[in-house]
Parts: sequence; structure tokens; C-alpha cells
Amino acid sequence: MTEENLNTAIASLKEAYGAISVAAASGGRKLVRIEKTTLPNGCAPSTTPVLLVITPGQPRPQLYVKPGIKLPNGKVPRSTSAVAVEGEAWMQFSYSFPWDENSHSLVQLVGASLQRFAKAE
Amino acid sequence: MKRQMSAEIRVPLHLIETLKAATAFRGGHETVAFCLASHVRLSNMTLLLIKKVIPLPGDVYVSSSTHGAKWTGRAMVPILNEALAGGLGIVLFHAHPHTGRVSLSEDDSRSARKLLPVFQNVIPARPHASVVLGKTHAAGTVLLPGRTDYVNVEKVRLLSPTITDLGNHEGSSVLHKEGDIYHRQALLTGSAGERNLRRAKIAVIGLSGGGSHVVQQLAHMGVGEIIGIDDDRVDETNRSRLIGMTRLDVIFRRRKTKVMKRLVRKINRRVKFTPIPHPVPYQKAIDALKESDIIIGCVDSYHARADLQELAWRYMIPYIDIGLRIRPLDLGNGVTIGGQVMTAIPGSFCQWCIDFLTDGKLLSETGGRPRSYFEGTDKHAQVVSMNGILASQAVNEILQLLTGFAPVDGDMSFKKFNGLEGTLEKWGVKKKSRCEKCEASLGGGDLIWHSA
Repeated sequence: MTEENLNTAIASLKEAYGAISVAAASGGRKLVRIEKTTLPNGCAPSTTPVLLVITPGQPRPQLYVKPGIKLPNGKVPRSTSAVAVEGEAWMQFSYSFPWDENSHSLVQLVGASLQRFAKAE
Repeated sequence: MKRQMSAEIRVPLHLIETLKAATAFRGGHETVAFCLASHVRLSNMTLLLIKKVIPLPGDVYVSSSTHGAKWTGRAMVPILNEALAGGLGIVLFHAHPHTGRVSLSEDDSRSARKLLPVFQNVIPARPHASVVLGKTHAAGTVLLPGRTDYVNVEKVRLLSPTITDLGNHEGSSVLHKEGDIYHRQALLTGSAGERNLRRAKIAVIGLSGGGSHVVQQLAHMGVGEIIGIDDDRVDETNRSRLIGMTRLDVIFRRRKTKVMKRLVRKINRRVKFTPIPHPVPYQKAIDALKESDIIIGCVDSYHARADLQELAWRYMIPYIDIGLRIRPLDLGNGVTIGGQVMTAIPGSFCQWCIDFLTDGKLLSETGGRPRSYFEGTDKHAQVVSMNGILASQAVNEILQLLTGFAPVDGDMSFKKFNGLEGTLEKWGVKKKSRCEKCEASLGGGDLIWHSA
């Protein structure tokens, strides 16, 4: 993602979600932290911060939420794992849908990814 | 926000000699080294983690009768640019090369109060410091982010095979306060070694076969604090190897941290045990790890080792790993019994440098799928007596790091266990000249976040 595209994408995220922080990490990676996103109805807690990690040369950003989310059926989501990203605990989770930088936005990526928690497992 | 009372500076192994050489007296005057540093906020202290040493070339010094060392302002421009580009703080070192206490002279302090605010103006999110190094002591002053007052440098920690803390006060003997408990131990470790043990905070991750042995020995040895990290509860299968557990612990399904806390209390109430019943890398476990002086990993999986390796390097904490592998040979023809005790000091080799960790090994634990599919490792054979050998050697490694009881031959330590022969053999291992993982994580510290 070019610097210019990233700045535009961050502006859109800010419009959609409010408070956003960014940090530079090793290897040219950019970290974008959305302080508050709303999870699907019935999830507990109802909101979570989201972390996007944008790595040069990677086709799509990696996305993380905070550990401890429970699904609407009260269960812990499957295929999730706690990971440390730059010294902070986050939860990595599996999701599957097409996304590419040229046709989709980061707002769509975040929205679609969080919908993964709407499904009972 | 909680007031940060003092600061500690950590110098990784590979930069110690560079720093000493850069601050050695040359040409009849003091010389200075500029270092670039990240930082970490702890509960009552700020750590500055040295990432690069930049000696000043000889031709930038100007003669002065009033300063120990004076250099042109222009010489600092590329250093400031590099610090700005890397988002790093600047630590200015010089040396007063004698034994005993040292202090910043009036001239040093005046210079620091001129320079550090300039550095803060350019890179406001990081601390900046001025430090004087002696042969046995160090002193300095730090300007923390968002502050206008200064805090003292509590110590400069040189991460050598025996950890060397250059502080600025004389240590008093701890032995007379403790009766006869440690007198025979002190015949090996000495008074200074005992003082280091009593101050040390050791994090033990994984409190089963290996970890429980480690905790027991650390309690007997009289370390200051043990941080026990494990989210698991005991079950019947642990009774064959978890030191200190009872039948009732199984009935009540007690947490392993609770069993360890009781074990430590029974051995020595002066040893603090801090239970963290959360797995690494949950935040409470990470926050507890950051506060430790040494990490001991007694974990089963490569994923857990990769997490500990990353965190140890990020915060510049020596990391000792133990592991036991008992495997049947092909065709059911006997077993192999192997294992390792590996002491990695920040700035030396990491587990990736020596291919102990590889992407292939991590993928093999998830069946080639992403990390989110990782559900733990297969259960391997475990035997209490062999866990005990590895744990005992790990505690010896701690003893070496804190007291330097054995001569150091320069090789970093990887000891390979052969359970059939009953041997621990030292293998020579070296840091890779370019290790992506070391470069990415060593001294990473806290990230600097900016509002978008």
C-alpha cells in the first residue's frame, strides 16, 4: 500500500470509526489501531479495539482484535489464537473473503472481518 | 499517570565493547558516544534500551580548557536525523575511568540540561539521557517524554554472560540479616552474588515438570521474586512430575500458580512469589514478563518459544529455555532422549539464529495452517528425574548470570542433553551476522503511537 493510499485509507477509517492511532514498526510495517469498533449483536464484549498491520509487499493487511471475545451463543470463537504484536496482546482469527487494495477499502475489510463473530460455531 | 521514579539503561552484549571503546580517553581528552535507544515504561521505572552506538570521530572535537570534551554542534546533526528517522531517543555516554562511585560533574550536568531538551524537542516521544560510566559504577540523568524535570539513572546494565549492573551506590552485605540460611551457598557466590540473587526477579513460564523444579530451587536459593506464569490447573497426570503438588490439589483442581505459591511459602517466606494465571502472550503475562530480570521458559511448543524469544529480545531480558524430548525410534526399536538448556543473552544468538526455531517448525505445529489454528502440541513423554536435570542446569545458568561463579570462556551457552548417556554437552553456537528476527525485535521497546 502506498503512503498516499494509506493516508486516504486512514482518513476513511477515522470517519467510520473515530479515534485512530498509527505507529511505525520494524521492517517498514505500519500499525493502525482503531480504538473502538462494534462487534455483531450478542457478542461479549460488544466493542473491541482493532489492529491493522500493513506490511510492505503483503497483499492485504493482517487484522487483530483484543482477546476474550465470546460469540452470541456464549462460546469462544474457534480458530483463534492470542499473539503478541510488538509487545501487545491481540487475538488473531481466521476469516475468508476476497479483498484487494484496488477494489476494496480498509473500512470494508474491518467491517467484513468482524462479521465473522456473528456466526455461532 | 504514575510518576516514573528512576531509569535503567540496558546495553546488549554485542554493543558493550563498542561502547567502552567509544568512550575511552583519546588524545588527552574525554570522548563521547551517542547511543540511540528505545524505551519501555515499567510500573516504577523506565528502561532505556540501547540499539546503536555512534562514536564521535576524532576530528569533531575542539580544544577547551573548561570542558572534559567539547565537539562541534554540526557533528550532532546526522545523529539527530538518524534518531528522528528511527523514532529513537539519544543517550550521551562518556567515561570517568576509575573504580568507585562516579557522578556527572557540574559541567556535565550543565551540558545535559542544554542538550537533552534539544533532543526532546526533536524526538518528544522518547527519553533522552546523559550518562557517565566508571569501571564499577555509573551515574546519569534522564529527561522523560512530556516532562521538564529529570530523573536519575539507577543503573546501567551490561548484558554480558554475567550481568553487570553499574549503579551509583555501594551495596551492603545481605548475609548478616538472614542468619545462616545462605552461608554455605555464599562460599561459592560471595557477598555481591548473594546481593544480586536477593534483588533478582525471575519469571518462570510453564509450571509443570520443568518449571516446578526451577521454582523450588529458586526459592531455596533465595532469589528476590519469582513470577510464575501458567494458566493451567493441575490434574492427575501432573502427580508424576510436578514438584510440591498433593492429591488434594487434584481433587480441588487447583491452579499450578497456587501450588507453586504454597511451595515457595513453605521454603522461604522472604521469597516473593507473584502468580500470573494467564498464558503468554496474554497482556497480564506480558506485563509481568517485562518486569523480570531473567526469563526461564519451560514450555512445550515452538509457538510458545517464539513468543518468549520475541518478548525477551524486545525488552532485552536474558532468556533461558529448557526442553526434554523422549521419542520412540522407528520400528519400535528403543528411544532417543534429548533435550536442551539454552541461555540466550540479548545481543548474542537467538533461537532463530541457530535454527532452533524455524518457520517450518512453527508450521508443523499447526499442520501448515495459520497460527489461529494452533491448538497445542502433542503430549510427549515426561519423566521427573530428567526434567530435574534440565531444571537444575537452568538454575545454574541463572546463578552464573547473577553471580558469575564460573569463568566465562566467551562461548554462549547451548547445552545438549543426552538422557541415555546421562550427559549435558556444551555446543558452540553463534549469532547469525544478519538475523531478521534479531533485527526486528532486539530492543524494540514500547511502540510510539500517534493520533491520526
